[in-house]
Amino acid sequence: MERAAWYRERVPLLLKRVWVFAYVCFAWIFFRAASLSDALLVVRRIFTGVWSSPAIPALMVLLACLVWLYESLYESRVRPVLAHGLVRVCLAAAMILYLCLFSAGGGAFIYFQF
Amino acid sequence: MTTLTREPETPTIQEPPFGVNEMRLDARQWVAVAAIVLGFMFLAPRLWKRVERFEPGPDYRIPYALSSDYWLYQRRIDSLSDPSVVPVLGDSVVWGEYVRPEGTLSHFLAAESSASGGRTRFANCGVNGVFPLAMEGLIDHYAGSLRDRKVIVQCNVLWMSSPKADLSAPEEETFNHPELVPQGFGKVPCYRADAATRLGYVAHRNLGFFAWVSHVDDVSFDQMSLPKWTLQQDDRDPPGTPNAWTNPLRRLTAAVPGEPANDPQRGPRSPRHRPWNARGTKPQHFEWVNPAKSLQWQAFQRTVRLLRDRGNDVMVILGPFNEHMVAEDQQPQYRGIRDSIAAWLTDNRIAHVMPDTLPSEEYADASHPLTQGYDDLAKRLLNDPAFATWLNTAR
Repeated sequence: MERAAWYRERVPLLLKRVWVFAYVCFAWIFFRAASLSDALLVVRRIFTGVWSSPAIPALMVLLACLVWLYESLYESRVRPVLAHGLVRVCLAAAMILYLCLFSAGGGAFIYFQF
Repeated sequence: MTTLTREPETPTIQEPPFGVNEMRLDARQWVAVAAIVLGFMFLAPRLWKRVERFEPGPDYRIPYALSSDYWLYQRRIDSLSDPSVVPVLGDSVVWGEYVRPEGTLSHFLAAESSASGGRTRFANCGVNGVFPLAMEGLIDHYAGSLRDRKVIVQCNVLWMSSPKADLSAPEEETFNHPELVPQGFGKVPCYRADAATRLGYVAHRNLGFFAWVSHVDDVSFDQMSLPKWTLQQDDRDPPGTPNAWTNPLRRLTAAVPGEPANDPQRGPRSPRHRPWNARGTKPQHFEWVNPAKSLQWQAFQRTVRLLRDRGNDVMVILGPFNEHMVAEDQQPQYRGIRDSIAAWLTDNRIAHVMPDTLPSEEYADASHPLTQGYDDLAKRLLNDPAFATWLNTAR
């Protein structure tokens, strides 16, 4: 599509990104599904199922936004700030603490009767 | 004609970029990261203790839903600074599976003792589902502050009533509190967790920070990690995710939750609070495990030794097992096990009481008394010369 002039020049950048994102997600269905029939079932349901909230949690949105923000800043003029040692140390510590704080499994206590 | 040939330029070798998310740290920076992480791990649980209100009353017991919250258990044990309070350790028999907090052994011991002019108080330090192998881990890692005081430990022979209950059966078994049992391969035959899980449990037990994280998850996020909690589905069809856009910070309360005011599962009004034979249950045959080979009994012995090594004056209450539930032809075998336990306690000069079995209608099952049963048991213990002597001997 990049070879087509109308796509390169007329389609807004945001729309291109949304399209690529949707395309990659669609391809992942076939990558992730256990079998081709499972993948086709998912595809069929996307177009025939009842539309409901995708239930994307705010935490996931926040994490995705943080990654995008980091990448945007990395490609901007503030890149030297991100390269600063103190910032890197703080970011690495924050990532490790996130894993320590939020990766525990847990599970309701259930009494196994003998 | 001469041709000028140019030497090809040697390409300058540049370090390939690490990637768009470049996050390389040098050794000094890694040390700084470790310092920040370790500092947070050290300070966060201690600061949390100052913020979170925890006021255990006289009949306090760890809420059922928080039975795996070992950080809270440690806090409970640490709160027993008054030497006149005697902690009562044990499983759900001490905790009171079928009764309300004011219907437990520790409650009646305190009430009866107070009625006869005594000033000793008793603290319910039982945990639901803790068998001796787990209690060993619990006492070892989370009850280090139990030192130089009188301690009562209940010994429940139910854990030797079958290879399955003893955890010595070779078949894989799912059981309560796997975090607390010995994590070495082969030590508990029916325990088949993989190495990563076992290492995780070892880290949990030895780094208080992770026990604190579990505590916050247990108390604030319905015993789930925050990411799991945000994805929790409700019972609707199609299922909804009510927590997806809920502010998790609002779930952080500055108080440890207590038991529900009216627990429908426990207390005299509960349909479960009935004699064991009211549902037509008959005396049963148990697959008793020989104490010499019992993993649970060995763990109990180690636990008592550990408590004594910490300077505690230990009193073991052997029972109250529901002997009415043991088939007639198995009574000698049961008594043999009970007597061999008592013999070991005597040989090791450990104070112990072996109260007679309670009336049949005062048991809910093989080992749990009903409210009246706990009342009777407390009276029997306080009237037992060995118990009274132990209780009244100054440390």
